[in-house]
Amino acid sequence: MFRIISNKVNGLEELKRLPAYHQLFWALTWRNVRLQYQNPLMGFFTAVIAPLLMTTIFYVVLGNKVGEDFKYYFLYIYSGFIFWNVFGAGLARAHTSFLQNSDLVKKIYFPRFLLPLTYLAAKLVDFAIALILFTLLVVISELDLEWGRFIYFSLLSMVSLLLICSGVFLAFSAICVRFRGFQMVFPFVSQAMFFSAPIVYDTQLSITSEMVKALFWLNPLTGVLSFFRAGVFSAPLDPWAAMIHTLFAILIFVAGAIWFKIEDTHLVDRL
Amino acid sequence: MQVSIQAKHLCKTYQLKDPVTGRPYPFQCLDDVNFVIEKGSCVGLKGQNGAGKSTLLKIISNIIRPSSGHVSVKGTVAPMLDLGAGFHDELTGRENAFIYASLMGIKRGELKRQFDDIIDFAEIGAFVDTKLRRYSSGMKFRLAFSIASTLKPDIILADEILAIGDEEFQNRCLNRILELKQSGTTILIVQHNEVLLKRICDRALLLANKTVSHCSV
Repeated sequence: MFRIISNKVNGLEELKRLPAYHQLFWALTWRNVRLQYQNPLMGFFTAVIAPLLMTTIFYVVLGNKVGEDFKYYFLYIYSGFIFWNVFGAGLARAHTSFLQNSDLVKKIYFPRFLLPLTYLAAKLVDFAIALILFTLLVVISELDLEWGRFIYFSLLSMVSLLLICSGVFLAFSAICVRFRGFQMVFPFVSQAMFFSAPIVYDTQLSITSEMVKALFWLNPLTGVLSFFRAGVFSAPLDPWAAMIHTLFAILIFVAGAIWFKIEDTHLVDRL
Repeated sequence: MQVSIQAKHLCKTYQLKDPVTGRPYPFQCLDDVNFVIEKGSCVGLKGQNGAGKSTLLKIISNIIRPSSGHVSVKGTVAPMLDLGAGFHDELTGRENAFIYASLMGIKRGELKRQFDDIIDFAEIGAFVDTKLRRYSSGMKFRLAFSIASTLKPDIILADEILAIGDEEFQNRCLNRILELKQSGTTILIVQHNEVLLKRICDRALLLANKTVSHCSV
């Protein structure tokens, strides 16, 4: 193994070495999962009970007014929470990943972009459990599910979820190293993203102004959830909108990756 | 002679912030550092606190990038800059060993095969499945050193690792390092203890005034 270390980054060389780090990636992912499920009961609580409880609260509070527009309002909210649990809860851990693991990052080399992504991979365990539970609920609730359509749109929504999460996790973790104060603002940013996303209500439904509509549409979760729900509730999905959602997800991924790449050179210097 | 590590015109400048005005200013840490380290040799790195020894080791292990110049490194590197980096208190010794080995680039099968030796050398014994927060600091260090040195890497970069632990373990560490050196591992070591350096190093580099010069051990 021969390596030249200079101030120029040879992207191709680094890409070639990447497969050597797959074990490290899984080890760190496993660490995150292990820490969450250290107490199996608490792990189960965060993965299954907590989203269900949140869904119940919103269902009870909003069920009569907002729920009118939806036939299966409980499932509508729960589907939102499944995805929010990956994006929002994952981001809450991942955005400080370099600050939390600074002793590790400063002492051992590995491709740094792997670190925030291990938090995403760990959250997918919760996601899988919640998705199984969701499918069970769908079967119980006599919702007429088209399985082929459900699987197709679920996969589509998962791909765009992965793209969006990777992009946002990478960008936020890099921002936090450069601007430490961002940690203070993060709870607000997270809440803003939660309430501007169609999780417990459809943001596109009650807004009349086209411009405001477009503004809310920029929430990255809008596309992901519209894919998933198109599969579950057999709601029609405009192919153009689907295409734009997908392109938007790719754009977020690329932008996050590029931003991280720029920050990566001085990441440890700033830690 | 095979070259293991070669540095050419290596410079490193940190951007620091002025505490009063908040304006960034450059702080040069290394200036035109050149040296060659042959395969299988053991070289001590000396210098006062803040001379840039750790910065140099970090550059060689690819953790930070030089501002200009380059280092070429041949072979696998075991960075022992801080033994136990990445250890988590809430996980057991066995779980930490698996994660730490992955960070060091040791294959899982390799770790499994050598696991008993690692535990024996670290003298952890019955505590393997105890959470790390119950370990004494000496035990953590022994476990980390044991994992890192079982790897048989081509290059070891060590930062002040030999003067930790009790005398008996220090001696075994020293013997392990000498064994590795015998088997062709290149070692670059920072250690303030002159007696230890004399025992293992062939020669030494002195970091002073931002640059490196050769000196006797």
